[in-house]
Amino acid sequence: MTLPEPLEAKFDTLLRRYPVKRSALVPMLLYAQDQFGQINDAMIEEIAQRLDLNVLQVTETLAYYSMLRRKPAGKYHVQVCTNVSCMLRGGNRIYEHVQRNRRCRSTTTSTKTLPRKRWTRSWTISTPATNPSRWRAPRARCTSAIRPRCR
Amino acid sequence: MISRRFGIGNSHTLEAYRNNDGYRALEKALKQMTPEQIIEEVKKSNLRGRGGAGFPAGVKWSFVPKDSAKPKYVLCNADESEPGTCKDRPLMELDPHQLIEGMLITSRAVGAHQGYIYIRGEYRYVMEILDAAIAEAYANGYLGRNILGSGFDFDLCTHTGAGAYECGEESALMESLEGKRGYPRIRPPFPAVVGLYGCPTVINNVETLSSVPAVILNGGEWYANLGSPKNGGTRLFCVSGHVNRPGIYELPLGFNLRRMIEDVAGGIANGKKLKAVIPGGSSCPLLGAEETDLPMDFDSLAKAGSMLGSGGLVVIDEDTCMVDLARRIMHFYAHESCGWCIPCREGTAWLRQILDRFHQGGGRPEDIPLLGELAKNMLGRTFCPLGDAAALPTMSIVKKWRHEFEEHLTGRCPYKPAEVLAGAF
Repeated sequence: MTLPEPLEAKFDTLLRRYPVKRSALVPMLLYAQDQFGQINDAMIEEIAQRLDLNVLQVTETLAYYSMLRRKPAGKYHVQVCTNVSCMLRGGNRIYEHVQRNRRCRSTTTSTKTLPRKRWTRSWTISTPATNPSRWRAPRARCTSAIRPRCR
Repeated sequence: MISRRFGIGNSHTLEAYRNNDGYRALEKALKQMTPEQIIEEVKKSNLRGRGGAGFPAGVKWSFVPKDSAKPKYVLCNADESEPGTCKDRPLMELDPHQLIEGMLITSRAVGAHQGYIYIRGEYRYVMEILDAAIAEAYANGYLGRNILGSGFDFDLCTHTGAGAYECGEESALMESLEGKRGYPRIRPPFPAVVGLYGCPTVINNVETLSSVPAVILNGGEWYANLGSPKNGGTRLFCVSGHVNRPGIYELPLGFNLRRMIEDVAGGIANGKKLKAVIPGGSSCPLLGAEETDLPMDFDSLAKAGSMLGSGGLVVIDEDTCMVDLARRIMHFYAHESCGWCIPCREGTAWLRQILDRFHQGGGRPEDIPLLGELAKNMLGRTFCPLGDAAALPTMSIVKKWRHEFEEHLTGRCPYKPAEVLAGAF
């Protein structure tokens, strides 16, 4: 399988980095996913061959990590944090609003076309409650409906 | 101290780092000190692990066998995933060379020649900053062969995870670095003897390693005097939740918790009263408002029945439903449990189920003691501390806010009085 030049270069660096070849597995899968949007069977076979592993060893590792996916994701990947800190400051309200507005649920892909300019950027919110600079980003772009009302 | 370069423009570059005492500690460690002296200095500094457990760093380094025929490794745990914690990100983003210098000194102390920085997959952009800093260090002779003419060799590279909380645990991190599923290993043997690829390994948190240059440059005693007895130095506290000024603050260990909330973080938002505090990331038992008048160091919090953990302070105001909070915490642990040990895999799922039932108004009176009992049976029965991390906050919430669970039995949440909960029908 011939790979695009930048990916091939990354794979080469990774293979030289570790005393045991298998160590390069997770980063290789992640870079392949960056390139193709998903990890398909052909890719798994290719990586297994390069690392002297069998296909099962690659798939069992792949299945463990939540950032690696076998199916393509949507064009824009929106993640909303609702863990403890964010829950206290209205993370769930943002999440519900995004769901309503995008007509898609968690871990699903919406087919709705992008109606307004403000959704043409993907954004990720990570621990906004502790990082004021990131916290402002969704506020500025969205209407008051999702503005978390901090009690 | 460790955050002193944060405000400087281009603080991530080698030039800015060198203009601000950068790599002076490394020169001192390589040219004026023996490895034994470095370890002794770090022991004297009372620098304790900043990742959560608070194990003295110098003692950990001294466990590495000196005459091992196998190669030794130094690992940096940058898989920061504890809910409420966000201190490692600015340390790597704004001062990556400090971490590189800390790793160099550590590897000199234990005689390692290869290091890896394991970064969580979500911090990919931070990895690019670190990679650029490492390339700069290689180009200027701070990494590679014969560093600063001392004859010492050290290679360093980054490694990315892919979204598993469990890989922040040291042995699971090593499994993950070896390209396997991130399952924890049984201890003993400890990583200092049998770690990465079966070789002696030192593994420390980003903040611990970033503190090492200051210890070497200014002396262990000076560093120890910054904190409280047996808890040397300063640390980054990440304050979040219902406070007026959430953020990351560097404060000496032993700083009063109430003052931290009132003065440093600007008090509770919207004039509300304090209800509870998670003192060190969501795996720590919660403290009630009346327990907050205590110094924030490892020993004082252990005495108060909690942990300092990773320094992620979550402040909770009087209008928060504790059942909902316990439920959210348990959802996280049930999702992140790797499934290796049965008490954790089953326990977290059962606890989640019971707490969900309570939250929806379908709780039964016998569920309250059952929650405590289940959590107690998870404690200490798993390979890694994830089981404990799920059990401890639950036990503390059930013990301290039992009345809230009892109120939910009526089918109404005391914080949503108008609403009859769906599960009560």
